[in-house]
Amino acid sequence: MESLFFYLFGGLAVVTTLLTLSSKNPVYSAIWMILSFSATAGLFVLLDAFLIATVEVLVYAGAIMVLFLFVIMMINLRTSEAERLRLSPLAILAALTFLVLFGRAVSDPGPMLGKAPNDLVGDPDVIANLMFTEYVVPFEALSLLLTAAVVGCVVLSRKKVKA
Amino acid sequence: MPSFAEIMSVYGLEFGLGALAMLLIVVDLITGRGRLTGPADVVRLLALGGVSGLLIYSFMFLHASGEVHAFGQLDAFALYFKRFFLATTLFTLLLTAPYEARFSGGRAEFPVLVLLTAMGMCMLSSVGDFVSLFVGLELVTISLFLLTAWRPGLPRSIEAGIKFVIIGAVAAAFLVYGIAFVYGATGALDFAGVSAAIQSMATMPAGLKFGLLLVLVGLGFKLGAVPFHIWIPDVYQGAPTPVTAFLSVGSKAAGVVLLMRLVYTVLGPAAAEWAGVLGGLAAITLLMGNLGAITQTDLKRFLGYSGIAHAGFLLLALAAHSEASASSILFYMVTYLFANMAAFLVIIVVSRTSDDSHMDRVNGLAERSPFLAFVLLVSMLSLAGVPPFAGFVAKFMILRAAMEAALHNPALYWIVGLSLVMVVVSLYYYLCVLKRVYFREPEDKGVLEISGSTKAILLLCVIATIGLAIFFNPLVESANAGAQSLMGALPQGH
Amino acid sequence: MNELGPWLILFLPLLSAALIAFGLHRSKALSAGLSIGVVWVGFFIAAGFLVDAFSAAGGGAHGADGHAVAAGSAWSIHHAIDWISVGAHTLQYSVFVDGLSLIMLMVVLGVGGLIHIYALGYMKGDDGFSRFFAYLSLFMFSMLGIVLSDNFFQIFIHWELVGVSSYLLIGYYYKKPSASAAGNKAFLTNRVGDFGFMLGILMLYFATGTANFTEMGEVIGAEGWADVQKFSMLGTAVTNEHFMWVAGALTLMGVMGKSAQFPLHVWLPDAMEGPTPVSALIHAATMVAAGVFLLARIFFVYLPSDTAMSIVAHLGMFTAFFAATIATTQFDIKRILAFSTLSQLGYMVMAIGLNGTDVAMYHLTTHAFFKALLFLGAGSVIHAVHTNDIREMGGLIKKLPITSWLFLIGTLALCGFPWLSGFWSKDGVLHLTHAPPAYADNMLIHWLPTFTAVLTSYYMFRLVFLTFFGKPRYHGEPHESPPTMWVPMAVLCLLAVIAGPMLFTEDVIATFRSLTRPAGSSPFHHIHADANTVIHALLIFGVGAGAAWVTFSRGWVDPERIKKALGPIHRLFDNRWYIDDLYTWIVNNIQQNFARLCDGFDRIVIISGLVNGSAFTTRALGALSARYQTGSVRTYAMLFVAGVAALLALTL
Repeated sequence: MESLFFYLFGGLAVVTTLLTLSSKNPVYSAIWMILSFSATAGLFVLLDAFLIATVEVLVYAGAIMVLFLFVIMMINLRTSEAERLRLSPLAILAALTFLVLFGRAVSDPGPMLGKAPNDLVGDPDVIANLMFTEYVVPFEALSLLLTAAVVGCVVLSRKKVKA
Repeated sequence: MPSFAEIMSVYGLEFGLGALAMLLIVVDLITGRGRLTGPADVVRLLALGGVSGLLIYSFMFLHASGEVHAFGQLDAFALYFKRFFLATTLFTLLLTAPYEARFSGGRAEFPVLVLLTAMGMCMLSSVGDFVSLFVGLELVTISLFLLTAWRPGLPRSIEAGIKFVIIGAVAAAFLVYGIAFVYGATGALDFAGVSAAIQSMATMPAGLKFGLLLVLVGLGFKLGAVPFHIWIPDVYQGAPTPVTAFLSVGSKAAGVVLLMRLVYTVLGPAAAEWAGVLGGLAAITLLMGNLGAITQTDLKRFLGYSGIAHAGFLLLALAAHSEASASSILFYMVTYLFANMAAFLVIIVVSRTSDDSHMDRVNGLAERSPFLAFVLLVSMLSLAGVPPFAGFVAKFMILRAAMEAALHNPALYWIVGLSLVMVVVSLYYYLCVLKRVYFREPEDKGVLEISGSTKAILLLCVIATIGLAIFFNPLVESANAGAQSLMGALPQGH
Repeated sequence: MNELGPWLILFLPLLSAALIAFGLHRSKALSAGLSIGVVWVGFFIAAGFLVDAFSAAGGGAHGADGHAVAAGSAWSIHHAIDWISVGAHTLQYSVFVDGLSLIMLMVVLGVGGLIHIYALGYMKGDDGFSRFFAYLSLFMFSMLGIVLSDNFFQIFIHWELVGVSSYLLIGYYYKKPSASAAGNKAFLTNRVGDFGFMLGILMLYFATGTANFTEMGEVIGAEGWADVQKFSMLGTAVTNEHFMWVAGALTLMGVMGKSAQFPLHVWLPDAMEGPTPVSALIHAATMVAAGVFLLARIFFVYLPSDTAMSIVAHLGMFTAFFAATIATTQFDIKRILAFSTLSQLGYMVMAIGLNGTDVAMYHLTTHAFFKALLFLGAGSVIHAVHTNDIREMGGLIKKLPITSWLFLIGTLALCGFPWLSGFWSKDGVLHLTHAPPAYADNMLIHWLPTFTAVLTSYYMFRLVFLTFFGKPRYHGEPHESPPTMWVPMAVLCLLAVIAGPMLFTEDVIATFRSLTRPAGSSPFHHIHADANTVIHALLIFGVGAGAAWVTFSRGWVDPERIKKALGPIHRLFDNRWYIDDLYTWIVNNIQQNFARLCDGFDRIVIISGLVNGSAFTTRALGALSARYQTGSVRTYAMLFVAGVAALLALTL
């Protein structure tokens, strides 16, 4: 049963991602992407990582994608022939190489991979604890990262003030 | 669970930088009221004062300690780089002063982002796990994205910003993907855990190699290693010049510090089999950087390619993988700092009227300002590695370390040979710039006036560049201490 | 003061040069004042040391503070900082003041200081006034570094710095082609010597494992030449004696270049193109004396081998004679003095070769006084009549009384007229030649220096008679020089007169000589002013000066007739023994042809083949590598990913 859902979500994620890439209309792309994120969230659920699954839906499929759609509509992005996905031989070669090597990496993942995860891994409690103890430094740094991004975006998007 | 005091003992400087940035925002808010002049100066002076204070503090009161915490450490190596990053930040802020008039807005916010970038850089020199590594790196990268696009009125700047964002995002994706594989293979995110897991393995599984290589990609992007350097010429050219200077020194050093930490600490003894990868990257980076620099006609692009070439040298030292080579990298960065900052400041001055950095701007500079011409001479020759200047000592140290390592790894002989050929090539293009400076007719015969502060900064760079060629021992000693603490060979400390 | 003093002496002039170069040059007064000031500050510090040293040496071994070890001639100050350490090799930068360097310090700073003041008057109104003083300060720094060095590497660095700064000073009138040519000649000739010097230093370092004079002296002193260190070269054993022969000879080349000893003397006469204060500073008191000083410093290298010592002695003897013969035929006042300097330097080198370092240093000191005086006098004359040619002077004693009298006294001192300083020092040298050590005991050493002394009197009085006496042949109306010029001359004149037992009692001279006598040299000879010595000196003086008087003052003998009578010998002297012509011939025929060969090879094979070929290839590759820099971010991203794939494919 679980593996059925795994292949369902996994296949959905792959297909929708491909559709995101190949759609001519950016709005369609965005919508395919929402589906792709949702499918990924499903995969997380199968791993008992409920918090991450929720975050995936709320933040990515929700907030970020809505933002994307707003932007696309605001700047009135239209499909143009030139913007179509073009595949150069080099890109195909690179992608295939990457795929092959990815296969090799997954087939020889090392001793730890594949071991059953800790039962508590998806638990918000555990994550919150880690975030404020072991990983408090990167957590605080992240807050400054966001500050930097906000300050920068405000400055860059501000209408020019005549001096 | 780490106590606040423990964290502060390692990340005190970062805390100071972050607090300073927040303070600047508040000061700007209180005094600003939408005006463009006035508070910017206050903010910049505050930033300058604060960073100088922290730099002095780091020299006088901060001591390296051998304690390794899960969240990071302040060993001699980290301390060396923290001081280096603070100095770089100070130079960037100083370089901003003569450039600032060209900003259409955001003058007060500029130092804030510079400080946050600096905070990320300092953090990277201490990090002890991949999570912090990624966050710190993104703090640096994202701030630099924004700083690159800091002149919205200038299409080149915006374009550079966008290119930087996209390529940067690709690199970050590879990095985080790699980290995931490393975690998957070792079950650990902290460097000590990963290192222990690697050493317990007889051979590295493909998944782990895959992950580590992708991490290498993410860091090679920062360092400007070929083939992850493609963003450099366009971004360097388009970014505001002080930001370019910051990118070329600080961002590169951020890549260096992490690569060193990974190669020496995480890989540890396993690094020997990575010498081939690093050596190969070094060779191709040396080749492409130096050859690419030849045909450039824009000074900032030119320095971008020259920076790639220098990254090749650093990779060569990494491939040599010895204490001597680690120490030579530390030394190299400082000489590179002074030579590069001087060059960028000269660019700022000569492009003052036209706001572009075409090489024609330095034509006949010797007639317009003999002092600037001399500064450029010193800087270019130091970058080229010509004897009476610090760059020579640095290159010499790297080559010596590489030759020693080549005894065990004969493939290095070929790369050393290639690097020597490339030094000659580099001499050609650096001298081409100097030829313009000394033998071409200037477009504008007017005398270039330089402000006293600019002169003082340039003089400092020149003195340092010459001084480090003569009295290099003190710096070599602290570089040695840094390298030792990195290798963990000797008890660390002061 | 012992701690800081030597460093101040050394680095104040550098500071002065830097300050003048970086700003002060706008104010002439400040530049000159600073440049002169630092020399005198140094002089007074050194004078303090001199008092210490004399009281230490004179009063025997009484305990002094920490560094000044008071034990006879062992008085010294030594501070060293580690400058560069590479592996086991540490290069030190140091200040080392012992008796020898102290005397040299006094000469360089004292005479140099007076010349600085003189330059105030001489260079007045020159456009490059400040530049000149910056160069002078740089020169002083370079020179003092040689004097204060305790090791070969530091001395070599300063040796080269002296070369550079003297090049700047000789070519000071750089717009004058002959001046810049002379600068080049001096520099290049010195390069020849310095190249040998460097090889010699490296060989000595290799042989003894140290560059420090004291340590090296101990090693060589203890082991002798025969087995300093066992080693082999290219797989074959080299006996150390041969190695040391080569090392010693090469090191001597450094001395020959700087002190203008035959056959590397050719630059010194041409160097007279520089301003006269430079001639006085470089070519009388300091730079040329550096070679002699070095020889005294590294005396221990030659001491173990009698043959080497004998070669040094004969080299000096020949240079002294050779230069004196040329001086008899010259007409340029400064060139005559230059050849005279060569000749006197020859005396000093010879004295060292005869194991009389103390005598050589004493002669160096007195010579610095009177030769500087003579050069400054010549400068004063040139200043007045605007020519260097003594045929266009004559009778100047009426117009330039002060200069003339001072010059005359200087001349008497140089000729060794009894009881002037030159008498004591030159007599010391001649005394050595009359009773030489066994290894150099031959007729030439006995008599040639004495004959050279006669020649000295002859050419100097020829110069005096032609310049100051007889009928005026000058043009225009010469005026006496300003006090800034003649006061330093007067001081030097006073020193030239009293630098014998008149000022320095025999005790003082004995102390002086004990200070400058290196370990291992034989006991010094007392100088006695007994009747024999005085008569001997007067005889030498009388014959030489008398001949000049007869010929150039009375005109009883026509100089042209002497020329005819001497025929080829005169031509030999007049053409400086054809040495310059020989060099020109070598350069024109051998070197030029070789160069043409190289040039042809260069053009055909290197330039068109390799350089242009590689430049073309490089540029083409460069263009190629920049070609993918299309500016399209898509392409960039694709290339990036392709790069990742390539990296993974190649390594995974």
